[in-house]
Amino acid sequence: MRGTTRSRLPSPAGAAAAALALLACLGAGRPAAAVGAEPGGPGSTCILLFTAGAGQGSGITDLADLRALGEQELAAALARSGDAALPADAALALQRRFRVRDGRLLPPAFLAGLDSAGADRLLVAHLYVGRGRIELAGRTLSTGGGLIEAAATETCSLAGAAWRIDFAIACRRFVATLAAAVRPRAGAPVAPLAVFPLGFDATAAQIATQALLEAALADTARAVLDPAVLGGALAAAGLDPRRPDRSGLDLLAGSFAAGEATLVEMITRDPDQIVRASDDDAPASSAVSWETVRSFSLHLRTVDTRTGLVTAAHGVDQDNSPARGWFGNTASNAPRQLIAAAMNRLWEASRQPGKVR
Amino acid sequence: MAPRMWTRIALALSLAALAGCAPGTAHFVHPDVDLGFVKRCAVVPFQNLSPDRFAAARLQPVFLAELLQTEALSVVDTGETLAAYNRLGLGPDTPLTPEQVVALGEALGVQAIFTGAVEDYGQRRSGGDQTNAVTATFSMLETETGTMVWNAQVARDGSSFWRKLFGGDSASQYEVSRRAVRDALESLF
Repeated sequence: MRGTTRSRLPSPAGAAAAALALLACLGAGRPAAAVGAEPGGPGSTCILLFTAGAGQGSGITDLADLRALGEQELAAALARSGDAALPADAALALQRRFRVRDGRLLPPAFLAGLDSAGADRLLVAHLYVGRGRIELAGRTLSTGGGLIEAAATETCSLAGAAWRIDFAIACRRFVATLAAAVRPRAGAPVAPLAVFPLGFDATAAQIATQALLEAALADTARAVLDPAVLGGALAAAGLDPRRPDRSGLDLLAGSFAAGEATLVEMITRDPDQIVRASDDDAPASSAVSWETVRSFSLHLRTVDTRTGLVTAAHGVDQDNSPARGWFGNTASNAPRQLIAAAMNRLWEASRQPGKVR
Repeated sequence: MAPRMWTRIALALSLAALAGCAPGTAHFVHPDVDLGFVKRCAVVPFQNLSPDRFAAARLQPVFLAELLQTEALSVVDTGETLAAYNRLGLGPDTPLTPEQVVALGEALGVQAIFTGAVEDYGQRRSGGDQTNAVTATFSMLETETGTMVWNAQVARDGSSFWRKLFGGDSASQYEVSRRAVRDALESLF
């Protein structure tokens, strides 16, 4: 179904047709080649779009179609800003060849393949499809050094017949935010590894990793290495990408000039995880939908890649109940907001002088 | 009886009540070992004896952070420690023998190894209220002979005299864990 325009809409056929007509009017239905930008030419951007979560009741029955639509919209948005996208077929061929399935690990051979195909930039995005909304989160990075240029998150509503238009607009905003967030970065790179979840599924970990990157990019002017690139390099060398040992730290220091590695664990505080006498055979990690998140702890440690010693460690707790403010106002307890709030506190604490906060 | 006497009695009763509420720490430090030679250490995976399957995973980073806070020792990262564990064929929930401690010390280049066991972790009923609680045992083993040089058992909960008096929620599980670990480490450093 990839690359087709057929889709099953959550609305009546008439409304869907109207939405498609509106979409055509917007000119966002297919990638538009911008002046001076040649798709697949040198200096193009490869788009990797993954559906990272599909909540029940969203009405979207064909996620492959949604992904194809998202790729088209992102390519169109890139073209409008003067960037060319690597053709979807070429990107897909490389993904299949190097088995890039979910964007959590980007092997060095895949990045080299992109470079050979003329893509010097990679846009990795994840679509989280919920009951009433779609969240689009991702980052752009250079395929050469694995350095992140920018990271952003956008949301669009699934309500109403014209959700496709909202989605197209969200894709444009997403690309525009990414382009606007690029800033010159220098100094020894920060090397954050993907967040390691305990009691959470990969989607929650992906959201936490995105929050970590956004916090790091917002706070520091130092270059930030992509966790998927680091993880891909470690995995390709036969090393554990979640908890690198001496060899892994040597690789990070040697191949990426990373003086320190940042490792974050996200551990559930879900009381349901307690093992009852009759529950000894329960799975070690239960899946938690991305639309709800249990209370959790985040623990960050910074490891010197030369000595293998922990140089700093920090932790925060986050309840999943909404924070109550003045005049009866309550803060959102949407997972992304909760995780981002906790991650910002954790990152801020890790930037303070002293070893522990 | 003079008013001053009544004040003293009230103060003594209050202190006695506070002492009665205070959870405790029991510790042992080997009298014949000079801890000055320990510069570099490792924290091995904690044993989990509590019903909460992630209790050890949650308490270990808290212990690591508080250990670094003392600025007394350098700590080898978990990834390297786990790799050495795997190389030596050690299981995470198995108590270490002295020979294994020596082998681990050689593999990691450390003079001491910290172990831990989480005995109780989670909510506990205290009076009419729920409170967060932690009971854990921590040990330090020197890697030359595998001898235990420090051991502390600590029990802490999130209740307090003022909370009991004026009401209020229990301290968070994270705060209770930090206090427990700090109390234990204070008996060492």
